[in-house]
Amino acid sequence: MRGDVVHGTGSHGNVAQIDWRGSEMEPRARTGRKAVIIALAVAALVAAGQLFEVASWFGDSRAGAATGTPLAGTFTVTGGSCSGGTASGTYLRMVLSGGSNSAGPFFSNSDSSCSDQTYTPLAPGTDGGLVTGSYQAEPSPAFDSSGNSLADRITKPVDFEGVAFSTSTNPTDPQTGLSAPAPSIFVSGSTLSGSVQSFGVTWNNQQFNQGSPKPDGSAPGNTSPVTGTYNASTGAYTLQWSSQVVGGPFNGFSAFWNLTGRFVPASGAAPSGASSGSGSAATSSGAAAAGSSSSSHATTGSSSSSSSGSGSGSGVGSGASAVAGAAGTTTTTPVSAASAAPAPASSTHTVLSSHTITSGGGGWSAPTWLVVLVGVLALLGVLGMLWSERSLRRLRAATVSR
Amino acid sequence: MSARRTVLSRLGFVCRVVAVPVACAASLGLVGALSPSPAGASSSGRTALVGTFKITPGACFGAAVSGTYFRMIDPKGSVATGPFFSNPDSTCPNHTFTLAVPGTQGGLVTGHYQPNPTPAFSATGGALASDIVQPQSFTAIDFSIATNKKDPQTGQSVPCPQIWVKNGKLSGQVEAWSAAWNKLYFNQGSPKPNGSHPGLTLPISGTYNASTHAYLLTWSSQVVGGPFNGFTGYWHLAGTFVPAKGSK
Repeated sequence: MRGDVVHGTGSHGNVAQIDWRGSEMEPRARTGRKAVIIALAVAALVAAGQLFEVASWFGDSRAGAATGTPLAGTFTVTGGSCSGGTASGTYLRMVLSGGSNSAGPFFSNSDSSCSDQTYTPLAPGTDGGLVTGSYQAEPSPAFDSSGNSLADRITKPVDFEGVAFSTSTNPTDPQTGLSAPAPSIFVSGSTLSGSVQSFGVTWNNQQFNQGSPKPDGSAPGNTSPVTGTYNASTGAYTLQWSSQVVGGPFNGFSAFWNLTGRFVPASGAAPSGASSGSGSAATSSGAAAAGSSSSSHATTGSSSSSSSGSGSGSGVGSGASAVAGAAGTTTTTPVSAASAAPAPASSTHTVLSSHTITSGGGGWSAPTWLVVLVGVLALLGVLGMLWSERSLRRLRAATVSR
Repeated sequence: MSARRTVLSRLGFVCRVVAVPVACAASLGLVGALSPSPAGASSSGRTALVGTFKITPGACFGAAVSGTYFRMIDPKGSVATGPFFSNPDSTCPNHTFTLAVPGTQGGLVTGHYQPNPTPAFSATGGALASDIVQPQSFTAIDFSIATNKKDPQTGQSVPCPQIWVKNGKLSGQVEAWSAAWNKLYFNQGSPKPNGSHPGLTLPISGTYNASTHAYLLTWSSQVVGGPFNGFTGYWHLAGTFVPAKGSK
């Protein structure tokens, strides 16, 4: 082993085996050491960068922040339905205090049309669904004389234990009195995130904030961030979050929201550089620049007020899976609100199709534990190299002095 | 009138401290029933049952329910057919029945109050009152029952519970009957603290077997105001009546 150098292992022990007395291998050893040092330094820098990103991600998650390309428009909702014990489409589940979204226990709504009455199916309101970038405020008055909710833009009022409840988004949250931003949903790859702080429920003359995060930015108890999937080809989406009631008569209860349907961009929401066209959206060029740059092809078609079916939740699921694993470039092909969800005759949407290409941070991302492990190993490697280098010099000096 | 006010005032004090049953009758204005019959017999022929209505715990046998239980009716429902609120914590196959377990005093006491403790709730909102019934989980939060001189929901003064029997039929008032849940109070009396019978609120009715002292008491009470405005509680108490000392 004398005179040999173990290259590229990054192992402290192996590096220490370098023959300090010198030989014809010494220049090669020096070159190897330098290469290892450089490699480890680069690894350390990369790891540090990853760590920074991880830290930033954690910070963003706590704050409820979302990253990606904003989707401004209407998340039209597919009406909820039940088949056997399974619910699809858009629905609500209320989780009892101390429960979990996955295991409950859940509140049973005696008015639910599902055999499992812990699911309450929701139907699209006059706006077809949830609008991002602006509010869908509750009307005034918000209730009838019996306490039934009158808000009907996002979802139709639906009976919940004999009293109709509904949803709205308001600049000032009616329960807390706090200002809350308009809903915002972002897409990164095929993953949705966002904020629905202003999302609220009205029922029996009561107001319950159901946003995520809550209006003050917190995520108490069973409150979970907005997550979802987005099929760029079909516009199909699914959005989920849960929000724990804070204060009031249902303090500690939470609701799990499952919205599915199709996203319809606002007519003015097409990114700059949009070009006119007709027919269905073009496919992605796949040449989008890195980062958040985007190009788009907005297509204006004829408006329609007819209802052409509601689709099904399962379609959303399959659509979402179709884009799973897509990295980098995303092709967005929204469809009309009229075709995406049943809409009342008065509801029309002029944007029938558009094409948005966004470049997001899709692709494989290293798990946190791996990033941390690589970073630690890299730092140890660098320190080891420095230590061995110094030891080598000392020993070499001692040899010379002999 | 002044003499009568004085009497009522004194009786109110007695009701609160000594828990003499006749005081409750006086607070309802039944002064005539006071002196002639300490045992509760009145000139109307009905007899006040002063003591403890011990409750038999609720039990379910398949779809059949017996003993003492509670059901909650949705605002658009009826006592007979519902729709009823489903309590996921119910031990019955039909979760619209919530069973009761007797509290430390065995059941409902007539003639004096069984008030909420202080504090009335745990940190998580579970009711702590345990004199009449043991706190029971209702949608993951304990609820319980108390009778208070001042109704916690309405803030109104209410008389202590009274039950009368006449020819084996029971009647009475439980204006003070109050449910506590999740740091909220719901008056569940019949009549309500102001003497009314709104919505599905039905008077107390029941049966009493003088030989066995077995009784059955039922009533319903619609929530007025608050987050559960319009909901109605149906109460079904069954058990054995135990007269207070000095009563029949």
